[in-house]
Amino acid sequence: MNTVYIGRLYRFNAGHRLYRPDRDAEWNLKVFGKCSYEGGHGHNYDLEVVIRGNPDPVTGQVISPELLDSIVRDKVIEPIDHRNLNEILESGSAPPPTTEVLIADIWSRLADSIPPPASLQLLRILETEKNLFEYSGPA
Amino acid sequence: MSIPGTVEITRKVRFCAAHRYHREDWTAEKNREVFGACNNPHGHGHNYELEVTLRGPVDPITGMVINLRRVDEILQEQVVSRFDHRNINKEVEGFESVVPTTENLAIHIWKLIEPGFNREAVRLSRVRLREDAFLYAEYCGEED
Repeated sequence: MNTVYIGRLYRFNAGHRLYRPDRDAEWNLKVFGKCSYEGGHGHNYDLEVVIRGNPDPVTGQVISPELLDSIVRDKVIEPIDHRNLNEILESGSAPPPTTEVLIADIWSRLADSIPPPASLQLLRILETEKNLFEYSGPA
Repeated sequence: MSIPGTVEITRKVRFCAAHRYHREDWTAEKNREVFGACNNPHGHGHNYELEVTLRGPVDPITGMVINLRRVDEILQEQVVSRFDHRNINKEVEGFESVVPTTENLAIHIWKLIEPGFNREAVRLSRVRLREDAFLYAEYCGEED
């Protein structure tokens, strides 16, 4: 079988503030810098979803792009786009919504929704043009 | 909450530098034949883009693989301050007799920054150096 990887690009915007309420302001400023400022800030996130599979003998596709779009829209874009990541991701002693935390959360939203034999291979998030994050799931 | 597995983070920095491809132990003809325009006598320059990839577990307190401030400090100290607006052949230690190709620069930069990054569970995973929009070299360290 010929394994092929297909990547599809999505965009969403969200706000966040990196701040641990269980630590003092000085600690937060030292660790998170400008990201700890009180009012929060936001990013335009570029999300790249890489799906692994064998092209279907009839359609020639690893996954239908329309199907992938609808999964990503329902599981990721709708719940996250134009929202505050602190409200979505923070609870209890969880770390603040860094892109590391966000990318693992998006993995958990998507991984079980990709119809076999295709599977989620890799996520990439470009937070700014200078910062890229990649996650391939639990080791 | 802990995040299973590891995350890779890639930080990009820029520097501008001049270089010339030339071997003293070759004739002028051979230098010209092998290195072409890169051998022109007065050198030339590029706007380099360096992408440094680090891999590690996500800290359960900070939610980070590594603090980007620390990443920026190391890249500034070890790379930007050495290379930015310099003539690599004449001003950067290590290139007195090494041709400053993109390949050699990527390896050299790996060696400069690796000691600062390989702390605890974080590992330098990849160095990608873009000379311009059409050429880059990647180095992932010595193979085991």
